[in-house]
Amino acid sequence: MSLVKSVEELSKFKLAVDAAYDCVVITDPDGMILYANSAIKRITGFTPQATLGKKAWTKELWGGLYEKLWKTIKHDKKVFSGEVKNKRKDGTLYNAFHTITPILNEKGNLQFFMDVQRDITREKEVDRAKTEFISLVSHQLQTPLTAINWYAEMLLSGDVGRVTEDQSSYLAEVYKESKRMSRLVSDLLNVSRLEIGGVLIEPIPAKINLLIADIIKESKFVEKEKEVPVLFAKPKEEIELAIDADLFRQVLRNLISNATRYCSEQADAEIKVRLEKQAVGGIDSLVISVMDNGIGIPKEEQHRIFEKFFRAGNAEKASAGGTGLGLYICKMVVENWGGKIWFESEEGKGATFYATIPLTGMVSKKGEKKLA
Amino acid sequence: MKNSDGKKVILVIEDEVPLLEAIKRKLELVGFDVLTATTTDQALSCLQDVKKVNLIWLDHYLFGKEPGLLFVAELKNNPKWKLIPIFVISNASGAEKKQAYLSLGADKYYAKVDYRLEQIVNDIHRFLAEKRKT
Repeated sequence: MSLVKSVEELSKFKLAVDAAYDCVVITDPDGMILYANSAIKRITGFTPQATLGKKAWTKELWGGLYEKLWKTIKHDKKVFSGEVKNKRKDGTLYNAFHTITPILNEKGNLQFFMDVQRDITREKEVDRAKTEFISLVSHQLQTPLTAINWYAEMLLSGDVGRVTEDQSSYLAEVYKESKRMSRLVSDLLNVSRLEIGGVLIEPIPAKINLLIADIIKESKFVEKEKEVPVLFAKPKEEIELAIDADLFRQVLRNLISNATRYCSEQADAEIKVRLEKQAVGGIDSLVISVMDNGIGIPKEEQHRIFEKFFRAGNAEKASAGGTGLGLYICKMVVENWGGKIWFESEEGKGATFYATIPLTGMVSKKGEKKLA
Repeated sequence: MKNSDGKKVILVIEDEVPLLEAIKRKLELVGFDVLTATTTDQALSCLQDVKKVNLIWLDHYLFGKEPGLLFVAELKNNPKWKLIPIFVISNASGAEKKQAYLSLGADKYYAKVDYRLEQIVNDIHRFLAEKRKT
């Protein structure tokens, strides 16, 4: 290519990047700014000139992500994207989404970093408003449901006079459906929190054996259709791991609740919870499994089990109480915390569900809220 | 006030009147005397007028606001009332509220949606019976 043509090509690119709406910053391999386009003034208040020679990313603003950022772009030479609260020239903070790309030469050596930044403050405000609205609606819906539940309960208990057998069975239906609606409202609230704002994950070291034993004991007191023994096969040593106990509790309770719901009617019905260390997909993990010998999942429906509102045909027949959201929520939560979830099942024989937590602990996440 | 026949007194603070009625009825069936309030201000004046309250049943959300936490803090700071056990029974979901109440000195926290009315009332009965022994 002739020199004139080369210069023309370069001018075209420079013009395009200079005028781009998104903020583009180029840094040297140590993160010092070599170039910033004009959009930086609009987003941060700093002129491109004022940013030259400064650090593009600081530990002060990036906090826990700072090390991960550098490992990804410099060590792994991969693209890093993440959200951070940046500071403008006037000191105000804004939410930014950065995509940082390492630029390598033909030999694979690091030449520069390209950081494309978007101001997502408005989007985050909208998300926050959505979650607040859904929380409010969910609360407004739960209130009349509680009234229905408690009045039905009092009628059924004979607190306001004896009820005939027929009246009792009709009231039991009212109560059952009202409880199901309550569960649905709770689940919908959780689904929206997971999908919109992302859920807050705060890992704290906890004794897992103890926690599981507690959860099993608790689950006996929650509304249940049947009494099924839940056995816990715990490892010899107490396992301690950094986890978010609330999220862990949500997932395990859901798995146990499913196992109970779909357990066989026979006397030999039982649920086994097992805890062990194992490498899964190359990652050393803690594996929690919940096994039941109940109705199992038909092969042709297995691939849909984690779908929103999906309930297998035999599940619908066995128990009208499920919302079809439990496993969808579990999958989102487990994958968010850095684990994996899967199952093995044969129709008529039972099902075993597995959920893992990496042995390095659950991944910490800066979501807007915790689950309900 | 402790009745001449020695019944324990529960103060129930709940803004939803149908729920308040159900709770009052159930507590009375179990043998308690019940005072009711729909706001924390009402509850405070009730506490001032009455000689003794054995336990407080407190809802968290009252008329679209969240005065429950302030109310508990106020009670625990008042030498006359700080020993009254408080059960928080609310639709507020999530562990943060539970933690906040327990660390302020509330004795128990229940999410309404998880419990039968009977369970909570039985727990109150058992709690007060235990307390009497100590």
